[in-house]
Amino acid sequence: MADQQIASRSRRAFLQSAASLGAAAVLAACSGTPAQPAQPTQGTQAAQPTSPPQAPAQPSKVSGTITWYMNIDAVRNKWAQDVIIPAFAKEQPNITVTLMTVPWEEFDSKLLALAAAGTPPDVFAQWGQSGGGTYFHKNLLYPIDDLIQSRGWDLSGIPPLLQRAYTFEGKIYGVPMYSLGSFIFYNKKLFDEAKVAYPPTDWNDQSWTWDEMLNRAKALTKDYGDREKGQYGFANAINDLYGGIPWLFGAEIFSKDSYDKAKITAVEFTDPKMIAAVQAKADLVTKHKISPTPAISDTISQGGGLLGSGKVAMIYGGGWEIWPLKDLKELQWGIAAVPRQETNRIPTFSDPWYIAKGSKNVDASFAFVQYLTTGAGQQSMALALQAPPAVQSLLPEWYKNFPTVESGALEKVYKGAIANAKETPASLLFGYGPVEDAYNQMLAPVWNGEKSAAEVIPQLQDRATEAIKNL
Amino acid sequence: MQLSIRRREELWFYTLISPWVLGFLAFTAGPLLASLFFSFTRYDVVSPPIWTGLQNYARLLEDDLFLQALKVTTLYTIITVPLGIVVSLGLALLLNRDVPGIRFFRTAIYLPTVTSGVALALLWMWLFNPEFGLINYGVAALTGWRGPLWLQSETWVLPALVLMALWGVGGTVVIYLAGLQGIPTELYEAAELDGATGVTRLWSITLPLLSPVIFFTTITGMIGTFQVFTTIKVATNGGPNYASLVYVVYLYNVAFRDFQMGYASALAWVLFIIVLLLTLLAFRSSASWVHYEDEERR
Amino acid sequence: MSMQSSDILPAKQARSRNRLGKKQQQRIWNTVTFIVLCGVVVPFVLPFLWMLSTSFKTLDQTVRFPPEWLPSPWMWENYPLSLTEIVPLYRYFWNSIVYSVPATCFAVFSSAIVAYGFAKFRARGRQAMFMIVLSTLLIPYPVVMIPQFILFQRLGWIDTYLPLIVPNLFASPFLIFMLRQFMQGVPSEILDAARIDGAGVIGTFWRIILPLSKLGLIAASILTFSANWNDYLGPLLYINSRDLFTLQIGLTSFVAHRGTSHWELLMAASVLATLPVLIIFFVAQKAMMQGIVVTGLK
Repeated sequence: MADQQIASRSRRAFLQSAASLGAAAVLAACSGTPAQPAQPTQGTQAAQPTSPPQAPAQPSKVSGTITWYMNIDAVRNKWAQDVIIPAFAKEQPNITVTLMTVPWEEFDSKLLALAAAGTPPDVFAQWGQSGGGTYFHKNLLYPIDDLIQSRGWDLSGIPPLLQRAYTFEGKIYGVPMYSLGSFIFYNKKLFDEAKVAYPPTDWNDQSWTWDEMLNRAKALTKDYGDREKGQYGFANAINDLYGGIPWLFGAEIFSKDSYDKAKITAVEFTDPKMIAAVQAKADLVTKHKISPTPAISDTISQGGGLLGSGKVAMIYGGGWEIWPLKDLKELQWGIAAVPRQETNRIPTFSDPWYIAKGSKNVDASFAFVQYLTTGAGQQSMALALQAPPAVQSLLPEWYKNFPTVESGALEKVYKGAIANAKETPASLLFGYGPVEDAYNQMLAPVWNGEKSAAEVIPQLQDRATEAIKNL
Repeated sequence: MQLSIRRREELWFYTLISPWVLGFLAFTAGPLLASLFFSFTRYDVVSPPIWTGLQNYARLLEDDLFLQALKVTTLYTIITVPLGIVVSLGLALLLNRDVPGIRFFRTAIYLPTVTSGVALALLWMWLFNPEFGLINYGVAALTGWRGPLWLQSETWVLPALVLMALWGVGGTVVIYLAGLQGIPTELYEAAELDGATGVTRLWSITLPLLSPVIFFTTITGMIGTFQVFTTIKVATNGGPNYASLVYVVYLYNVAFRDFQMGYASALAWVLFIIVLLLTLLAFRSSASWVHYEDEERR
Repeated sequence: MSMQSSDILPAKQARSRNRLGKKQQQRIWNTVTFIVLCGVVVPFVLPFLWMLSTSFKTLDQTVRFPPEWLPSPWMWENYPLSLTEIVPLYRYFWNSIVYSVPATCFAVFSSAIVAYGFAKFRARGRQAMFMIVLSTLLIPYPVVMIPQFILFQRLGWIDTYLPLIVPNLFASPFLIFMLRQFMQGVPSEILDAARIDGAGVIGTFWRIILPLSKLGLIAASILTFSANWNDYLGPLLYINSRDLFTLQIGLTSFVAHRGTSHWELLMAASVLATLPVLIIFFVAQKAMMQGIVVTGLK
């Protein structure tokens, strides 16, 4: 603003860093459904892309203008503006959808400002810094149970656990549009060169343990620390508090009560399993020397992510790691199961489309949300956003994105992931933001090897508890 | 009815400043009062505020992150402002000479302040990258030491931020240049005739005549530095381990990450009081060292 | 303010006696200055050179280590591409001009008027008023952001450039302070002389104060234009329609939160974004170098 000269002189635009700047960004999860056989019975939804199959009771008089809010992203914005909006306009000519985009870092602050002024955007996803749990506790979401009932939206094409994932205090607030899992992605060329066996695609393979991963990674690491030639066996790309390495070590991180209330009531950082997990992650760099240091990691991941750099043999990452790989045609990559320490439970990231509580046109918003989460909306999303759709019968659309990986392998690993998954707390729990900040701030010396996890964690526990107290 | 001269002057004063007064009443006063009000409430922006009295202020006393933020910001300000002034002044003096290519030199020094924020933040993170950055490249070339971890080290993060701040002195240099060029060259020539050396000329002519402007940059520099935000939010977000947690970064996180606008407002008003006191102090001391051409006013 | 050189006959004669020695001295100083400047300018220019170099590379080459300074192949097309490829940046360029120019003109002009009041008119409550002006600079933006947003929303100004331009009609505290310092340097004798000659307040302002504060006004314009051009949070908050996006918002599109960011296009776009301000700066320098306006004491 003109009258904040000094502040605006130094108020510059933001940087969006690659991989590691935490916070619940694009997270999609498909929470685990027990391994299902092929779903011929749920085929009805996908078979009619021309009309919203779940909405026979849709009053055709629904009309109005609604705002669709998302972060600035070339791929997403293009899909939204050029594919979805025109297609939806054909189906519902009386509803006008206006796209509103914001830089990712300001997603929440603008959302709040708009809500405070009484003009929240009608439809949005948790594509900012906060998750559904936070939005719920902040009264930003509109419960959609009644709408689902009255519009006769048949959710049976979506796995039950996904249907329930975004239920807070007994009401549904969102139905996930996609479900990104977490996997091991690996560079086939580096494996071939070192003559190391590929990681298995079978999630029940009991021989694929953390220690086994360490062994293979050591064989794959060369010239550790060398800025030009350095090659690393393994890198972790899932934030710990998303449910990364700590879950593998059997640590729950947040109390059960927290999940029940969708609000962090207690953290369990001092659990010995958690301490072991944190130390194990630090050891990857400081003791075993198979992972790149944070500084190196930041730099090499700038081209196409850690995997895309060609310098890392295996990464444990979320489904979004695939996205930059599409442009890197020479990279031969594979997808595999995650090794187990105590379990190999992984976080899944599902993003629903929410309707704002203060929305001025709930009916139109709901019609749009329905369109996006089923049928044609889902189909185009699977192809454009490369995100596996929640509607299971549409998965083959998603597989088409990855011609370099055998679709059989992709399907097997994907289904196995879902069977071993739980929705990430980052999206579900109010209070995640401040706890994660404390975590990132205070564990910095542990990642550098200056201190051990056991030394720092008790203070972290106190700090995090303090932060929760003020929620 | 003839208005006295004094009265007329007063009337003119209020007429001339009326644009500001109007703007203040229209756009600033309301939001300022609102934020003061919020500081006595629990307010998450979406739901209506709930009155909590002095609770937010009481919480400040027990909040060690508040103390940390205050400590970091004060340290940062104490180092950056004087250093910034000395560096800007030095540069302005150098740039005030008629040397070939002077326009290029001036533009070069002003360049950083003009570079777009996105690119700037990126650039800094690249430059300070401990492994790949140009800065440690240079350090290694000169000393053989691989260089500190900069933005990832609790000890080196503030020095890195100070360097970033100094790099942006171009704005202040422009102001000093304007001030310097307003000093009549005849004064210097007369002084030289009297046998004054360069240093004496600097001390007796340049600095006193420039003092109103130096005063201005000191005050605004202090105010601005206490509120430094964007670069640090992007580069470190207050880390590592809260070593670079400047006040407004903390405030912003409390407001928009923790959804506690009430507490954030209390933080804001505490900062307000602190900086106001410092500013008043500076004004009071200015009588002794700031020299205005029209002395009768002081 | 300054006397004509021709009035200082004795001094001139004295000068001619030492002419050779002095010229020699000046040349030495100038050379020293030149050398020092060459060295000093390096850290200021280096990051920009790096930006320039990156802007001509391909995406692959940008992430290579060790850093390579020379792009190969030389991608001239990055520049036109950056204006159209990711977002219609050329339109955002224009948008930024559309609001920055009026905002700057209004701010400088209205602040000059208000500053004149503070600088040259005595009145009761002047000090207090000035303190209030300064106080508005002391509140961190994040806590007034929301109330101000609500205010503008009630006015119906959201999704227009009005919130960015209109408040500038009512002066800016930073500029008021700055211009006041420059105006206070105008000696009262000149103002008295003008009054005796019958010039009114407005006449004095237009014909004496403004020209004599020219340097300050130019510096103010440069800084204000920069600030408006680089303003990020303001436009972001108030603009919803994508075709009204400003340059700074547009630049964020180049950095992907997940997926590939096009650093090379970002750098090209950022170089282009810097040009308007640089041009203004370069041109303004010419005006500044014309030095003091000489007014004889008649």
